[in-house]
Amino acid sequence: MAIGSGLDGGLRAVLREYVLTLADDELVLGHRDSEWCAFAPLIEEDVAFASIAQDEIAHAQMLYGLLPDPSGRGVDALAFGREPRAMRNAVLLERPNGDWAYSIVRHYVYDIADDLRTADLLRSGEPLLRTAAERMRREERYHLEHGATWLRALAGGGPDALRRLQAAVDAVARDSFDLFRPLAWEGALVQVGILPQAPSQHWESFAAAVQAAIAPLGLRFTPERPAPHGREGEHTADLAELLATMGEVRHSDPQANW
Amino acid sequence: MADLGIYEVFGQERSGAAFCHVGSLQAGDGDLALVLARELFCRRSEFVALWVVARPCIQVAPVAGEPLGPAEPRTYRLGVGYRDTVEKWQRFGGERGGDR
Repeated sequence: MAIGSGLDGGLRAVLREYVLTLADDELVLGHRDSEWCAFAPLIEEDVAFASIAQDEIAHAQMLYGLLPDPSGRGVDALAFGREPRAMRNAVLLERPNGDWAYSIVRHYVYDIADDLRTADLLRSGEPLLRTAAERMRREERYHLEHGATWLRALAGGGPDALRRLQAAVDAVARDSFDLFRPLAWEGALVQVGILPQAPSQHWESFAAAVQAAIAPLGLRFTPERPAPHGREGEHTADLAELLATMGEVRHSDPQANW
Repeated sequence: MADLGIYEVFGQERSGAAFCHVGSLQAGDGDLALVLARELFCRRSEFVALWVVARPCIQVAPVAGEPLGPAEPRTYRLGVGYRDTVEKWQRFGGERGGDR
């Protein structure tokens, strides 16, 4: 069952843009997280982080599945068949992994943003989005706990660990505004009750929530604007590389029936 | 985090059920052990509660190559020890037990 069946064509297109921001974020971050498999600090963490990556990719799959698909090309076409310019993820999530501190900080900061976003969806006028948010939040609770636990562990690792952690926070802060950049179509979704408020309204509370979460560890979150415009299709070469890697098998034979 | 330790993981399948050992893992502290246990052991089985126990907290019984348990068979304590009771009763000339 697809969302937005009762809406006119213009609103359906806006709703599609919005759902793609959510789903593309989850897909791209899920792929970056999965790259840690076999390289995480502990073998247990290999499995744990890969499991979290699978959760995120499953969320993307569920969200893509909510979109009308008149041509019947399916969810895989959305995940693997789009050019970088058609991707709506925040640039923050396509950045290469770098060190473990960066990946943990990025995932944690993203989870704080996602928590604000999916809490809004619980009040959506679109029942399918409410259900999707409830299901995602069941897992996101544990993702937040995972990130907070690792942050505490890394922050307690001495001056060098703390310095690297702050460098990771700074790198994430430079790209964070993309998560809640005001977008031209936001108001239309609020007007029809699909969203209780525009996502960009969360920017201040998001920055405050991140700062409150990491301040006790001796870290400081100082976000910068402007950040890159991933939501409008402006991406880095890293996303092109990610999409080529992620879709490599599918691209080898796009007509194959998997 | 500097010192990694082994943690034993126990899961409870439903409220009131016994906690069962499901495996072990390595972690820097109990908090991380719980976070990892959830991702490692709750992917397929649904538990309502989870424990992690640092392995040094477990008191281990010494075993000297012999199985634990009594030296002599005590089948009278087991249900199987009463399987032939009726037949024995009849063989030794008694009436069926419980008829009087």
